[in-house]
Amino acid sequence: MHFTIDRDNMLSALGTVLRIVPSRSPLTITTGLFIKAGGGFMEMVGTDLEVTVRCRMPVLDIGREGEVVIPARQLFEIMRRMAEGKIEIDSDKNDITVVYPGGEARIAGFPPEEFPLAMPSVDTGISMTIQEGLKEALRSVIYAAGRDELRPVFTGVQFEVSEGILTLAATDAHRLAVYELKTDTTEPCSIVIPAKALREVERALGQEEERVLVNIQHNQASFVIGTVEIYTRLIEGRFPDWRAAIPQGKARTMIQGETAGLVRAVERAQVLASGEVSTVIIRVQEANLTVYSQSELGGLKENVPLFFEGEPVEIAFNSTYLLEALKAAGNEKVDIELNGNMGPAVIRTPNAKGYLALVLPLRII
Amino acid sequence: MYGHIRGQDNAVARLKTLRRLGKVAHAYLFTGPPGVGKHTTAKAFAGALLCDAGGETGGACGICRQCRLFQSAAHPDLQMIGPEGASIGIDQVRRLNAAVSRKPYNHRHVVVIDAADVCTDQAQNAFLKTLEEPPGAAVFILVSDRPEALLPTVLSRCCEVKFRRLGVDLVAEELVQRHDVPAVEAKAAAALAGGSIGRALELHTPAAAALREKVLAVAANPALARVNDKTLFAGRAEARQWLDFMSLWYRDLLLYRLTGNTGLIVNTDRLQEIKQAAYTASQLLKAVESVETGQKMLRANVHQRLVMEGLTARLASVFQKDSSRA
Repeated sequence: MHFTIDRDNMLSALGTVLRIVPSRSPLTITTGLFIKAGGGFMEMVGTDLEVTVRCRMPVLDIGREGEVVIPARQLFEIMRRMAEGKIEIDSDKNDITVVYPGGEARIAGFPPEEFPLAMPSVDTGISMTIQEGLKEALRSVIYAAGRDELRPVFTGVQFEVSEGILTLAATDAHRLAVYELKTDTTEPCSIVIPAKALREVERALGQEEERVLVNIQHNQASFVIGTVEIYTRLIEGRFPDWRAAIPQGKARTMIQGETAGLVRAVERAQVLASGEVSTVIIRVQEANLTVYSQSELGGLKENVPLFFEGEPVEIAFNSTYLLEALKAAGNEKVDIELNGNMGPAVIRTPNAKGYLALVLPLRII
Repeated sequence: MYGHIRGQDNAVARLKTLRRLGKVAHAYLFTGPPGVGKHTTAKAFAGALLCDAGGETGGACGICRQCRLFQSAAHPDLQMIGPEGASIGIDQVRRLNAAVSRKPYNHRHVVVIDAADVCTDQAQNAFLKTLEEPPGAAVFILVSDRPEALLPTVLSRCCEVKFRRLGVDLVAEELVQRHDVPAVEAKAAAALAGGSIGRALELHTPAAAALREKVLAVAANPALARVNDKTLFAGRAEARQWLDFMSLWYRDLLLYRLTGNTGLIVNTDRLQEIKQAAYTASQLLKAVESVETGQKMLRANVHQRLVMEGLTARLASVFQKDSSRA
């Protein structure tokens, strides 16, 4: 294989693919990048056997078509320290030569035929197009997914299609985030996608809203965003029935207003909260809504000017959970519904109707 | 696949029936002495479970795509783990948990855990949840020759499949047919191997034969000075073998002393010596007990040299005291 590529294009491809490539792996070849030159393009693939990221970049010239597997970190470390200009990549079997302005590097590669490219699909699955809003949806739910691999289903995000609506939901059993999107498929389905894969999708979506093609099969899902394709295996298991956890009917206490003031107050209160989970208490009483925290470090009390109605209540939260849910709402305005000091708090935003976050309170002792 | 397995007809028939009827449980524990075909059977069973067809015979069809992937040891839904170093650690189990929690490429994950008894307690505990409620149609096959070393919580989650010792003739026949061992040597090794093909193959090596010579020399005349020689055995594995040889030797002596029957003797090449030995039954019983204690200590990680020294001292006293009294 032999091709010439602009250094910036190479770095941009590396930036897309590299994050998923493990630095250590029981299958050593997965620490490498599969690079294929052909048809006027360079194709770069990285995988950790769960998520596969494939990216296409234009090249300046292809001398000889072919494929190689290059150790990822080494290639990246050399590339990012390189001056701008043209890069030539040449391979003779598994010996790879990278020629750059003023020098050349030889890197020992892996045999490309051993690289675990995604399994060929057995069924065509369900395809859909999401015109806009996926980035916002991902940003609003991924934070709520758990990180405990002992409960795998909580480390994923549920994708559920029903009557033209795609619902994303993530939970770690202490909190829940839901976002609804329009989609063009009518076929119902419900799967759980690893949050790790969706973080890559979110990154690949970049600044502007882009159209995303989603394909869902019985054991894998793929996302196509421009020249980037992301394949991921699915998580096995039944996602909890989160709809049952959302309180129905009118909330006992309702708080409305701008998040900014509340977020800042909670952040300040968090500083003086201690312990394994930092506890922040919100008290709604008479004419005041107060945020306060108390620990051996000291205490803080702050009145936040927000509109509220309903029963007085004193409720404690894990401040990190509350902050993440408030920030993910993203909007200026939120509605916070409280249901006593042991019921879950529900956060909605009037501007983004599809969003809902639920945070379980802590017991006050 | 099942064709290679000899002398385990009950186990194989049961596994085939399970597969044929589609009544496969989620976890099996294959138990039995080492080297009788547990691992080979586990692999054959895994192949049959992964196979797309094969519902009629209960075995793998050998021609479908899944079977071809399996034969080239590249089936992505098959996880085989065994000890890395001395034990199976929690990291291996975590990787395993993560792997089976993803949807399988085909219809089910199959996991084979070899020497499951060397899982650390933490690893076993990390594994419990997955073992109890395996995701999807996953099947776990644990293989162990010491199931008593597994946590009761793991044992209670598995269906046990017992593997028996093989007959001496069968072991000898296998050695001759599949491992090209000359018939005479095969017979001697099979007799010593206690119904295990794996053990017979181990015994057939020149190193093992040399070790046996040394052991029998010490057994004939136990004295502390003789085990202090550093060249006698190297490492735990050899110490273990050493004790096995010793235990068989005293077994033969005792058996001959009590029954006078040479048909049950396994050290067939030493018949003359056995017949001439002039130990009493109680001496030999004590000797066997001492060797068993030694084996137990070795399993419990007592240093091999200490075990050997202790054992030899005990043996020396057993044979000396009673002979002085006589």
